[in-house]
Amino acid sequence: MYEVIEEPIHVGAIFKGSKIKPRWFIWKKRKYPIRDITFRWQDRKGEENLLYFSVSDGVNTYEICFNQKSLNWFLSKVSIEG
Amino acid sequence: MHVDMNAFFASIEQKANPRLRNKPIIVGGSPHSRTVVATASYEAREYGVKTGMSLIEARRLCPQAILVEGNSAKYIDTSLEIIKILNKFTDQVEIFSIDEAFLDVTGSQALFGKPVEIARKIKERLRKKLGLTCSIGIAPNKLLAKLASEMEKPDGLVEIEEEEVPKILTSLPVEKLCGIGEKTASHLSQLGIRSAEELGNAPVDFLVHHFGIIGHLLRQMGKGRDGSRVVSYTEEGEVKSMGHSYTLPGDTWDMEMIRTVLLRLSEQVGRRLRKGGYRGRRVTLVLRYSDFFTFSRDLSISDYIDYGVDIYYVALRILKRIGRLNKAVRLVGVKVSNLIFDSGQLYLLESYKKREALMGAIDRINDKFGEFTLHPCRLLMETPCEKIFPYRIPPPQRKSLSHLTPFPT
Repeated sequence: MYEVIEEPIHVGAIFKGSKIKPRWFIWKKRKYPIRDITFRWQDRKGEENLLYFSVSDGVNTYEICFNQKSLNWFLSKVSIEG
Repeated sequence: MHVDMNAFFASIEQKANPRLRNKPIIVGGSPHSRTVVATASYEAREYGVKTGMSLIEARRLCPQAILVEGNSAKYIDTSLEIIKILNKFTDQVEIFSIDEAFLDVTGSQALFGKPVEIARKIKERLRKKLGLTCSIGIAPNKLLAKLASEMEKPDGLVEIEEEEVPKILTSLPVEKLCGIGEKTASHLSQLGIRSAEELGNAPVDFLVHHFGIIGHLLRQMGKGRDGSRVVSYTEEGEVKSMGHSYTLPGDTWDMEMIRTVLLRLSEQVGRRLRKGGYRGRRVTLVLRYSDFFTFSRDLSISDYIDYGVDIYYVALRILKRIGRLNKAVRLVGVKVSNLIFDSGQLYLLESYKKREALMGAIDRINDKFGEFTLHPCRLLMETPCEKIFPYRIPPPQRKSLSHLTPFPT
């Protein structure tokens, strides 16, 4: 169902207080609008705090992640129909 | 009050991925491993798929079910969010499992209203904040509250009043009472006791004769009585043991593989012990064979230990005593008990000091870069266990909830 990607992406996000709201991301030179954040959670890897977002562009669901230590975003997984 | 999240892992996956909604899904381990069902969505349950069932069996019952590989971090973090929400209504929250909690709302009624109103508010808050549903049971005690939450699923709310108890217990099968497992129920059945009422009316001497000291408790349960109070996670007692187990991807006779898995499990147990400041001197090895026969052997040693390699060597001694395997092994587990809290031991011998310093350095590196960044070379061998989940639920205030058990192994 999900395909593991683990690739860096560019993300446009709104930071409001402690809340982060990703609005779009660019992966492989293509821009994906984020229509819905369906779930969010966090995880740790050593000292790194990772914020995960399940997001939908209206067609597919993606798991994107924000590393709060390195301040980098990456695309973790993609769920594509079929 | 008992709060039970409905098909917890499956509901989270369905919430996270709209494409999974209203479909039969099974949450388990890797689809390439021989996993068991951790949770099935209600759509899959309609086909008879149950928690703990092997994936092969589940797929036979529901071939169209979608297997979703579980994500423990996602579930643990969500569980913590749920606890935060429950704590808004009372500080008396007892964590029963990753997706269940008991609440004592006696002291919250002045603020939030009657228990039923509190339950409705909790359900609304969980739905709004996390998009998840739960079943809530309200009753005079924990035993009956748990029973009540089981009565209506999903998204149920059942209150059992004191005067309704005898009527409910009349035809209630004993196995519906929390704490009476398959074996006890079967034993009771052989004695002609099938309903809770029959259990409650059985002579206590008779029950003690057959079940020992728990005979008293069984009789109380049969009467719907439970004197235990809600123990808030902030006041939970000492940790008694720490352990991990792992179901192998295939039944194996390969002792090398078993030893490698055992080392990895031992390293994980050691890490948890050190993080919690514990040492133990009893090591238990658990093996489950291909026919599901499970046995455990333990060995007590004179020293208290907390290093993975030390735990591993004791476990190996037990393994050697077992000798040749009679059947292929499907699960390996290791546990350390007889624990003491150790705030830091001082060593006189230089070699011990060096070892302590080395282990401290390894721990700090793994703390910084993640688990198993540094590990024994033996684990460089191809090991099947990328994910190993512990089987005890510690109180969250002591550490994170990262020790909860999302997947039965």
